[in-house]
Amino acid sequence: MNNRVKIIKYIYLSLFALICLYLLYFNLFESRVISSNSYNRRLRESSENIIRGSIQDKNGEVLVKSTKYKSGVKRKYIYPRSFSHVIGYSSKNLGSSGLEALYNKELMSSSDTIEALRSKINDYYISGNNIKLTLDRSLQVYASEQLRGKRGAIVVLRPDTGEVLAMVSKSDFDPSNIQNDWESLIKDKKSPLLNRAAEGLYAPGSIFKLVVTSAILKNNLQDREIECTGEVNIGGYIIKDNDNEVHGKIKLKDALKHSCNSYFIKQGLQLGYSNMNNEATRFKLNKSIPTDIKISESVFPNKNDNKNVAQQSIGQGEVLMTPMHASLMAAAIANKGIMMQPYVVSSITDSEGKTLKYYNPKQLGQVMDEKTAVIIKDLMVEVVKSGTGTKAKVSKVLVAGKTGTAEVSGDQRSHAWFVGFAPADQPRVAIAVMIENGGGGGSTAAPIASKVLKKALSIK
Amino acid sequence: MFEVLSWSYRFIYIFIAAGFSVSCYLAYYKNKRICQYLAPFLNVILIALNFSLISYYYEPLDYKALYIGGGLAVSYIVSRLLLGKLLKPDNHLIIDMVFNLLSIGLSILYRLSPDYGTKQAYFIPVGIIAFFAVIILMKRFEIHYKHHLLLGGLILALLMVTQIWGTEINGSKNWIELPFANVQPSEFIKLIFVFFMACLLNEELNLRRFVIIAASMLIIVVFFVMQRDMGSAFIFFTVFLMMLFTKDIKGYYTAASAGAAIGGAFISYFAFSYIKFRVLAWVNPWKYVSGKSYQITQSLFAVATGGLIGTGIFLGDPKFIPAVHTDFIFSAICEETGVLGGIFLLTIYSLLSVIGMDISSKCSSPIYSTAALGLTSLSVIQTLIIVCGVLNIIPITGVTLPFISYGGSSLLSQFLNIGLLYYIGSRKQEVGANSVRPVRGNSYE
Repeated sequence: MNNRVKIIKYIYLSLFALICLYLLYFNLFESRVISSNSYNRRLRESSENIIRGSIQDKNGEVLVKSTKYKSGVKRKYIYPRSFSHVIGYSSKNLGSSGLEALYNKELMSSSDTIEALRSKINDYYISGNNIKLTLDRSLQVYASEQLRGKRGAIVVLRPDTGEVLAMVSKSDFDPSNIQNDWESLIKDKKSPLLNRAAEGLYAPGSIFKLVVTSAILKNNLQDREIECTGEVNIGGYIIKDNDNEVHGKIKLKDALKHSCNSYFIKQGLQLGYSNMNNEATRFKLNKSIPTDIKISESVFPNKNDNKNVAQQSIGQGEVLMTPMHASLMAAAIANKGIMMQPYVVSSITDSEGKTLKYYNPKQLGQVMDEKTAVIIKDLMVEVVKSGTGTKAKVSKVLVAGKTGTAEVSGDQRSHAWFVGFAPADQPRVAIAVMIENGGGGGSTAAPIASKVLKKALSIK
Repeated sequence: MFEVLSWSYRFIYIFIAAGFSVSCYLAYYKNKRICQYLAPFLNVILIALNFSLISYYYEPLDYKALYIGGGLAVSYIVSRLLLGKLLKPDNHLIIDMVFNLLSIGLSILYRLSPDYGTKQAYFIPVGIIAFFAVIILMKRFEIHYKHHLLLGGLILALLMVTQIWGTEINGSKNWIELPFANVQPSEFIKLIFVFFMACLLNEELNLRRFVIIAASMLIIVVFFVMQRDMGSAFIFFTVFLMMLFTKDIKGYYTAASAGAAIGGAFISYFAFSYIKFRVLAWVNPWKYVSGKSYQITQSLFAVATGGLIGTGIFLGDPKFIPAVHTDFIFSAICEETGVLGGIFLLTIYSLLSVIGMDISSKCSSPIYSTAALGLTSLSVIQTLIIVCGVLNIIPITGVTLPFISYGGSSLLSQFLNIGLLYYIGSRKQEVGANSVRPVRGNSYE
């Protein structure tokens, strides 16, 4: 019996020890995420005494600021519709979204801890920290205008650093009026609250052929010549080329230029599922992209029968990408095969303007070797010069790009895509444009990309 | 100025709490004489600093907080001196740790609500008197197997009284309204139950006996289910399992009982919507963050915001948690004194459980040995389920944290529990009539 008592004693002791370990684990690994949850009233309670910090663009132009009035603190969104999703909203009852949510802690805290505690007890106001973005106000507003009346997204970033210069999602909402509009916003079929640029998942269509091209080059299949008859028959399942065009005997260069489905399907089947899946994984599909905003994981499905592989080769069949990821894909090609981590917050400064924290560019990894990247770049230049993407041309600048027209289920129009970068020989900006149900990529997305690229190249 | 003081006091607090825990362990295991003096010294310092800080928060100074702290320190010293006169051996360690828990509990309670803190402060002397009374009383009586009918009858009577005259408070119909206070009989039934089971388990365990034991257990649990007091039902059953396990050589009966308990848990999940609610709130707290998981998520926010050494007393917002002064007081402690404050609290509870179990091991009388195990298990299991509950490790069950949560019945019952344990620990020198084994000397003082 004494043995049994000892057993129970050690059970109790180990349970106590386990709880202590769990408390430490909780403190180290879970508490940060939990305490920044927008339902944590503590954050808002302290906000009663802190004037929420401002958000500035890369040139220091103020985009959002809070001002103290007698009746309380009022937050003013100076460009409400252009920055709806990146900056998000912050509301007492509805929680917060976007950067307002993710950087709540920074915006609501002061670098002077003692001063903050003192203000809380003695009830006076102090200013929170400010955050500075990588976004350019004029480019963001310009890109936003290009999407007026449409549903879609534009992402512009610097290929060599990953700094996001513009990230627009339409349809949009007015964060300063969120309280009144909430009911209609959540009912709206256009889902205005969704950040399409980073969280919307869409079939990439032909822009995914860039990934397949990289796989073709890596597996030395680029010299294979393929007969395009305008359609491919996989065990009775027929996939046609756009407008039933017949390209005849065709090689990689012309196939990408004219976005020939038959060519990529046959090459995809030759490569097989595992090669395709490996290449997709290298391009970070099915992987979370570490960054300072919320990005959905792009999807490469785990289906390896011929019918599915054929669809995957042309970016259909449950392959899904976010516009942000599409722009990263183009940026990696522009940046000699190195994919950079995208980021939108460049620094945090205190209320006196002293910098508290800098965010430096980080690499996500080498997704292809430099040689492959250069070959793909040359092919993309051809696409814009004389292929499907001619409408993306910018005067006096060499643009590289790829169009996509992703079919969607039902009778709806296709999603229009364009990804690319410019100038092709010394890339300064990469872009992804996606128009939901916009029709052809070359006719709808490419002209918008042309305008936005021109504007992006004009800024410093 | 207060915020600076409280902010810096966090470090001192953790230092003292750590010193206290370590000296208790050294005093118990290594028999270090210096630690036997260090522990009470640190305890008095802790009481003094805690209540001075709380008093300083108010403007002008809150003298009531100072009186309460002073009263607590005085009653601590008096109890400690009395204990030496009353009992041989005079093992003070238990009383040191109990008063450590009391001082932390009372200061946090007073910080959360001076009203509750003051009320609780009145209960403490009552508890101390009960503690000594039960020791003196137990010295005059010897519990034998034949008393099981009396104890069983008493339990049944108290359960019936609760069932008939009970009023519902916070969803459980387990309170009796008396002119001077509301009493929770289940807190006292616990103690009688432990002795009742110890008597029954003293005889040889065969099928017939097991049926009798299981039947009485079932009756008790059914009463608790009817009173919607699932916390008590769970504690009673688990304590019963532990006690049964020490007597059940092959373990069949324990396994059968545990199986029945798991079956019962499944049935109650589907039968009672409030249990289903709690399980759902446990599985996915963030899904129901503004609804049925409100309490538990507020508790997690508190622990998460506190960090390693807490926000400092009065600098957190533990009052956002509903029922923070009873069920969720551990989260408040974690918020304002940090995860480390919580951990040092748990080390005190675990040393108390070790001492209780060692008393059981060393006791020569089987009935009292089993009772000591049961008494220790009562407080350990209660501590475990409420601490795990507020951290969302298990679904939340509303029970009190021993010596810390607000509640007169609970505090009184805990004092009686410790008094009984103390008495059993002091018995081991008087060689009982039915003891077979020679008794080893008191090796732990």
